[in-house]
Amino acid sequence: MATDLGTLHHAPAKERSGWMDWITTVDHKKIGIMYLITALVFFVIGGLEALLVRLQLGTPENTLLTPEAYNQVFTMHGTTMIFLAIMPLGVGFMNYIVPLMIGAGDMAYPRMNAMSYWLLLFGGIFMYLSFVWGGNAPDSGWFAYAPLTEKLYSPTRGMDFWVLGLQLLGISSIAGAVNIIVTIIRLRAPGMRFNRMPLFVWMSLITSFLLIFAIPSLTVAITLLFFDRNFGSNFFLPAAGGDPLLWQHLFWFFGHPEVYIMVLPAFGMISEILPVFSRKPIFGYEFVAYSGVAIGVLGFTVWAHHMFGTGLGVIADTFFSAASMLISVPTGVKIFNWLATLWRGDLRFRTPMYFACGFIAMFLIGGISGVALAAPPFDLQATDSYFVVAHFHYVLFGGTAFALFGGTYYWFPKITGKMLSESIGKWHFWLLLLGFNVTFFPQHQLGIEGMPRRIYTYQANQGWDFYNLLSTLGSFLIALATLVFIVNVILSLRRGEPAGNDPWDAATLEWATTSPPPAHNFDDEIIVNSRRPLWDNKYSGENRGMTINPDFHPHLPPPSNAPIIFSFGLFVMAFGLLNLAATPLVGIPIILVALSISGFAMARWAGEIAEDPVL
Amino acid sequence: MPYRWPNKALFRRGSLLLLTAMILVACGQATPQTTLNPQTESARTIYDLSIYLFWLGVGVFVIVESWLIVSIFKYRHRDNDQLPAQIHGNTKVEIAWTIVPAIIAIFVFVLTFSAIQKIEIKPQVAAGEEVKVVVIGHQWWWEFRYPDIKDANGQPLVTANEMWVPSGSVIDLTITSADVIHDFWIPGLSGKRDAIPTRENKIWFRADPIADGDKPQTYWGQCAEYCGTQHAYMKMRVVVASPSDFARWSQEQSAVAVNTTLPPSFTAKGCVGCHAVRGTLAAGITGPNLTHFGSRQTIAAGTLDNNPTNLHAWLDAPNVVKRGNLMSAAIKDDTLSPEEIDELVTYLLSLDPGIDDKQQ
Repeated sequence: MATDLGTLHHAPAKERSGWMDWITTVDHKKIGIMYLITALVFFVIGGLEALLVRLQLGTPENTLLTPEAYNQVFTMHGTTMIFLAIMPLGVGFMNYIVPLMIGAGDMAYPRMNAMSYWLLLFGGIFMYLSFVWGGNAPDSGWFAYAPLTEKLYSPTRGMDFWVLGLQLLGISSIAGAVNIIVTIIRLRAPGMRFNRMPLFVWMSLITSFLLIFAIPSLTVAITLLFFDRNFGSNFFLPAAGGDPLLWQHLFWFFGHPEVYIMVLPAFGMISEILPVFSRKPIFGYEFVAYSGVAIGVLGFTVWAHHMFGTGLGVIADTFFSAASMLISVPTGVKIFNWLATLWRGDLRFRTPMYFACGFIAMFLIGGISGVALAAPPFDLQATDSYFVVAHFHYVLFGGTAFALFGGTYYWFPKITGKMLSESIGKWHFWLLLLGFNVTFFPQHQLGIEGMPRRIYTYQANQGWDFYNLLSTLGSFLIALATLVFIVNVILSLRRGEPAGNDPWDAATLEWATTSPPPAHNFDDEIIVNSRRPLWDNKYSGENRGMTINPDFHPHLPPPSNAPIIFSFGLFVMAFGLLNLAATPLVGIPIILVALSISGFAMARWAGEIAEDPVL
Repeated sequence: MPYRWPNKALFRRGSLLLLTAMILVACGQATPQTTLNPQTESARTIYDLSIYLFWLGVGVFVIVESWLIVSIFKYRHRDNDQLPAQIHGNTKVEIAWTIVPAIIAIFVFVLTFSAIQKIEIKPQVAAGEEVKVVVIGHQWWWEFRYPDIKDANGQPLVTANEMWVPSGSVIDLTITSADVIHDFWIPGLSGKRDAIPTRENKIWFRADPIADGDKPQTYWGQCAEYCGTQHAYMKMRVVVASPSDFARWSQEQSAVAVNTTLPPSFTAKGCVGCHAVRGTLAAGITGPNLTHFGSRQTIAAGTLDNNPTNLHAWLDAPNVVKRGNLMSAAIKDDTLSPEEIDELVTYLLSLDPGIDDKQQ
């Protein structure tokens, strides 16, 4: 079907009202907002689970939670924070910010983008339904070591919910990653060469490549586990010749790159925030970008450092130890470049800058304990103890979560048009910094004193009481800080100061449009002439950073309900698969219904694509 | 004896002093499961490496955090609207701070590599100087088999949750599991090793000498790999004894039970199905071997101290004491009458061959 491109100039997408607008949207910004809100809700749920964990461990031989309940709570805490909070927060920012930063009108595949979001939401809901319908929630820990996860040792349906929920999330992640990669490669504004891309775009690109290489390994592992649990296969059951270590290799081949999947977007945010608030360019752009690539590649060569305790032997220990220590080099390079960006700057301490500096200070501690853990002899004492718990919270909370909060304060004005309150923001930062350290620093000592992770209680004669109590008190400071943040968001949405286009006097293209941006992002085509297009236009002279082509005809795809219907079909499919083995007479009809729902949506989807204008 | 330079020992002692001071100031409690009190060559190798890593980490921490804090204070915005110099980078500086961490990483790696060699490669010793123990993890208790020590029936000596080893000898451990993956961890004696079903993992240690006549030393440990409901109560103790005490212990433990007249409820209520008492018809292998139960320090893999009150509580309601444990499937609230419990408590606590092993 021929479409007159001229009529599409600034064409507003077909307006839908209220919630229909949101569930049919294919606008990367609305999808990004839904990602962020969903992830924040799961962050709060995962945080409440963490409070339960800390309450239970606050005193020795506490009976607040039964061991069964505790095991479900810590498993869901880890699973939620990783798959439903930290990852989607990163992806949410990528969704919202990357197209704006590269001067694009939308993602490369807007409908698939909506599908990625709906699969995330449905995957999360599905996993949490295990509390209601599973008999138990998953209770084998977030890395779910076989054979504990086999039907023999985990007879409730919790682990089946976990597997199928993760499958939905895996499809979401792969589709999202492909979308980001194609968007970055194909939709950059004219003149935005790779070496002019903002570093957040660089890190998003690397993260997305990590996702498409890492997630399949998880998919394989959980599919095999599903077969073991439901169809009597024996991939991980040792008694029948299966190998429980196969699970660990498959899982950690995903699981270690997963750490970088959660950390690299944070690195990207820090690399955006520091230069803006230092009023200088990033120091060593190429080194910051390429060290990210190096981390991504090396990240695939270190998975077995999670497995030193399994007895890999001297040669494997040596190799994986060396490779893991090597990663400290590119990571160190990044930290030095960030510090050099601050050096001789004109530092403006607004809230995003607080969080960025907090990130460097805390992530460093996680990095130092990480190098220690890369030494197998030390690892053999520290692994599976609270030392490791402290280590990865310094990386993922002190690191990634601080950066995500920094990113939130930084981009909230762009997303909503309102500033977040600076004074409440600083309360948030200081409470969080204090609470975080009071909670997690003592856990290093607990691990060194022999406290294993994942124990639901401990006896008073172990000498662990004081630090556990301290850690529990700290966790309530974190909760308070998070409450302060939520209050800040609500108050600022209601009566925050108007942001204007460029409240931070920034350098990148997302600040070259209105806040919030129009549906089509930019009124004109932007031709990029430098690495800091907006900044150079402001400070180096007209057109030094970018030029404008007003003869511009953005095309926006119409809203579509195909993505949510398709995703809903897969959600229903998960229920069918859940029941397939035990009650095929229930499972098969549900699968057929699911297939028809998804099939219907696919047909609709294909029809819509056929009507898209050829650009 | 391996040669050590004196100042290394001083360095170690100084560090230990500093660390323990920190801990004592903080809470003043004893920590029996700590990694900071290594009593074997391999645990000390790990400890020494840890101390190097600790100080190296402190050094990196101080340098980088100072750089950050100095930048924050020195370059914070003042009343000056001039744009700072727009520096994009400096290749020489980049090369320098790529090479410096690389050198530190190589240094750490060399230290690590030598430590790996020391702890992984077992010294060659004559057959008689080595004691072999097979460690089997169960949900949620530990079984220890001594393949070279024969009991009164000519079978390998079996104990549960408490392992005795002689000081000064190489202890050769073969670690495996009967069900899911567990992890054997006695922080004072050695690093962790996973107990994986159908696999046999090896570790070894050699505990520091204890003179004949000196008291045995007890080391606490517990399962470190999450293994299900009662992962928290899968604890064990290792008693390091002087060679002569160990010889006496192994002789006593190999004997048949002190009292071979099983109380009626032991058979009537099915205890025999899972537990063994050497010298009687009880020969179950699903649960811990009870032959010398009275000599053990704890009940239910470290859940309770071994005394009549606790044993009474355990037999009365195992599912209350240790929820989800296998015995609670057979022993319900009303399975054992109060009289039967008394009878079993008396019998089990009488199974003590006498060595004074409840000493620390």
